[in-house]
Amino acid sequence: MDIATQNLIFSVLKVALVIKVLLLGVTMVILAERRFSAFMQDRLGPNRTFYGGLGQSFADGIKLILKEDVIPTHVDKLTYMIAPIVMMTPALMTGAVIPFGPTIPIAGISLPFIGENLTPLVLQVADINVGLLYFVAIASIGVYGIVMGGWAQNNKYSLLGALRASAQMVSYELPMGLALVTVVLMSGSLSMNEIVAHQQETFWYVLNFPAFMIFLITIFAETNRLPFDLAECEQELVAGYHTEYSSMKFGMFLLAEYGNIITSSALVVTLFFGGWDIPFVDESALGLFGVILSMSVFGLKTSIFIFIFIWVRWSLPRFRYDQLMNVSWKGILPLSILTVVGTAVIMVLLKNFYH
Amino acid sequence: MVIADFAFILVAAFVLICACVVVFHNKIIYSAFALLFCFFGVAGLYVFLNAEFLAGTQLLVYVGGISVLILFGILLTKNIEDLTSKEVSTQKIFGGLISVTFLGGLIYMVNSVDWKVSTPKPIENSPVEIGKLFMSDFLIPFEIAGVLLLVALIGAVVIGRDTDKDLEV
Repeated sequence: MDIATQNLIFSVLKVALVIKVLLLGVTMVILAERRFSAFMQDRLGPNRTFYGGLGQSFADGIKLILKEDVIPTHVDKLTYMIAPIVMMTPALMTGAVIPFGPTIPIAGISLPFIGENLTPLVLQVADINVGLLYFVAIASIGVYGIVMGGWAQNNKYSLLGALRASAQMVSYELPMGLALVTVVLMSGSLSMNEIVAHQQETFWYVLNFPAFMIFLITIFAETNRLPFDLAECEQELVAGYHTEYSSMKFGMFLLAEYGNIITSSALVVTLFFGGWDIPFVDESALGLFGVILSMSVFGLKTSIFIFIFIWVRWSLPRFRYDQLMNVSWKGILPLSILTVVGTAVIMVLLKNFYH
Repeated sequence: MVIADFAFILVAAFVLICACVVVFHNKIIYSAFALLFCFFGVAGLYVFLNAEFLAGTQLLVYVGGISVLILFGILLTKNIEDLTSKEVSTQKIFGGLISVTFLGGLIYMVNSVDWKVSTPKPIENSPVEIGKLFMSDFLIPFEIAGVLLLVALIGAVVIGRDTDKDLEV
């Protein structure tokens, strides 16, 4: 089998794996969120369906699909239909550039059905050299699902939610970009694989703590989670941009939200916590076991951040709109500029240490 | 590469259809949404030209930034989203004649030019090369653009900070 066909087969397999993990992960994260919020509010939460509530999200999914798909008469039909798709596509697309394991050296080994391998298997759907840029670009598209949905429903609450969301995303994209600039400064590359490799060689970028904190805060804002969930703020806007969506269309907004949480957590891990790197352990010496171990460690680190997402949501109150803007433009933005400059200065001072 | 050709035709058709919607649709908000998809498709065309960095920048600047501003303008302007622009065509014969002539000229131009196909292999790690060019041949434009953007960034913060003070005075 020639190299192009092999690459095609492996790509399809990897895409299927990532989408599968994301979609199944979403059901688990939703369940975790419900159980954990119940714990924090001294309730029980969903604990009956299939072994302690494990099947609850699947049952909810079936319920959402089977429900009647109501399209209100006053909505703009085309935009109303497209909005959930526009919302969900970027959430799944961002998973493409996140490396979830080390490169498997299977070149020269013969596999069933495929024959002799010609290239090592990179555990990442697309190893593009502008991976970081790709992530930021795709993440910035997510806002259009909210804007289209909010506008299409033709009511004031949804439109307000959409406008808030877009204003919020525009203001938090700037500090996020600057935090990523510090990562690029440290790694010298836009490729996710090389960022992970550089962290393995030197140190985890979380040591640059201001950049990490700025990135964490902005990623909360980008995923529209509390304390930044003004787009769907229940007390003021009913349910914001998805007020009049029902059945699986609503389910797709939900899928997109939790899919974003998973990919964002994976990104935080990749950029600041060494990705699949296990500290002080040489993974490549362990062979296939090392690969599996690295992937598990990556999953564990990602789960920790998903947990932090849930934890913060049920602990902190919501920002008021003007506070939100003040925090971004007067607080985080100047801080992030300082972080970029400071990182650059320290890097020049430590130049001998780096190279 | 049949798959690549097929994908290219899909992306190109997508861009063209979106561009047509931008121009011909009566509702201004549909034009804005179509423009957004059009920018997105153009980024796809850049990918076919092996210009990944340009594609990413296109998405970030045009899709992530400029389209949001256009939508902001439309959504915040009162009642403009329900406004439908009526076509006013008074000189159909003259206008049609000019359009057809222009179209003919364009077709003639496209057919008569000897289009050059680029032969060198695409650069493996293009962001690195772009960075080197920024820091050597195009240093001054790069620096000027950088300073301009930084001034705009800090200016936005300064304006945001000063509003309260102005109200007191």
